[in-house]
Amino acid sequence: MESSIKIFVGTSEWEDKWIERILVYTLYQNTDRKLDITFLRPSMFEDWNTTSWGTPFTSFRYAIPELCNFKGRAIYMDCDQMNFRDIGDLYDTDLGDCAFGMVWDTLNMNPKEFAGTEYERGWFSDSVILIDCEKAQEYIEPISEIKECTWGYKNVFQKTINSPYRDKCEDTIIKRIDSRWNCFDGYVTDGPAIDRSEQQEYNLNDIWHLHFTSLSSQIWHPKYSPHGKAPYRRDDIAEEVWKVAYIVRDML
Amino acid sequence: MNYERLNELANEAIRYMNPENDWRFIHADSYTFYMLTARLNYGSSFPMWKEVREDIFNDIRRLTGIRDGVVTNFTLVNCNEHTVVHPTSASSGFLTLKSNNAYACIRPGSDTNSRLSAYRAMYLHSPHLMQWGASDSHGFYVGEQKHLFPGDRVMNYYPKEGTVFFHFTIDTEDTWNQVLKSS
Repeated sequence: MESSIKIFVGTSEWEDKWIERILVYTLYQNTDRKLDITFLRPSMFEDWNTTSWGTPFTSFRYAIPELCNFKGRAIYMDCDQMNFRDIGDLYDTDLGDCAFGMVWDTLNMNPKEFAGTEYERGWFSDSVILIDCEKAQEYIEPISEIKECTWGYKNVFQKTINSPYRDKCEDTIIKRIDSRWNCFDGYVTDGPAIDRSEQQEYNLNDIWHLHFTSLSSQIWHPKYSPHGKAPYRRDDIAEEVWKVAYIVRDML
Repeated sequence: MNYERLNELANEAIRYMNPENDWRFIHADSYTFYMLTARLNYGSSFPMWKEVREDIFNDIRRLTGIRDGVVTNFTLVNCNEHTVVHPTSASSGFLTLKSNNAYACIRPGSDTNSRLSAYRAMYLHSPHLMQWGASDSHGFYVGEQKHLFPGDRVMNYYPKEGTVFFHFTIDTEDTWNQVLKSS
């Protein structure tokens, strides 16, 4: 009997329900595989130190290998996403000997100490991660230590996997996966342009898994967001989201 | 003002949109449809909003008498028992759909004293017990399916649980041009 695909979704306690429903609905719409979806909410991790986090769920993703008893595979995704293609295809991606599969993000801002160097920008995005939980144990500390981290465990993890030195990480620790699995607001996440205004964009039909990564322009503006509101740039994507939003609301 | 259209928009938004925060309407569920500043032009992608936006803006221009006015904000607010509304800015108004005994008070002007008084009275528990006339103000229960537009005067709005209204701001052509020039 085929085992289910474990998916962990980082999310808030209740402020992101609108997009959570859309994400779950579209995941099921596009696959025949069994899904085992767990929402990583703040109430599951009440004694964690959340200092310097940018969202209510920033470092929960690093608990996943231990939550899976360091066995099998799991997929992590932020809640602010929408699926367009069978998530089983991502789950089955060949990771070689790597512990993680992630998309390359050309525009990722690396720590200030690398400003002005060739490492100023560009790193693997941890907003969608395919995880080999057994191999990941080598790079992620136990939950008992992660939860005590006072400056955001994400930073500790990045250093552990040799960020921002790509040649010390790619194909040994991280396998670069097709960027359509974490398509930032329609942009070609791993395109060559180093400026958003020049970055290429996918047609709607070429997006496999969309990430509403610009917090200001997220269509649903969660209550915890301190950011101002900006309009959503892609009308075709917005129309698609609203179509699903109406469907899932009428299912309740 | 076409209230049938406003009621439809409010009902559909509350059902299908995600509730948002707006600092002017503390602890309420708000839904920003439109916001225009010198640096930002925000329009919601909510499908029904796109259909009715121009008609609503024209209605606002008509009811305020500012024919060449520039609408700079349009927000739906769904109140609960904890909601507190900041005193209004100049040239803003309310289109109340459900009142539930909401109360309002229009101050004598927009000067510093009026504004300070309005802020001091922002959290009033029982505004209907105030002797508003003693401060040259006018207090009253808010009607439903009606608009309030006190022009440049400052206003307090005291909602109840279940109060639903649209809030708008509109600048005259001159005011808007000054905003642009000073930015």
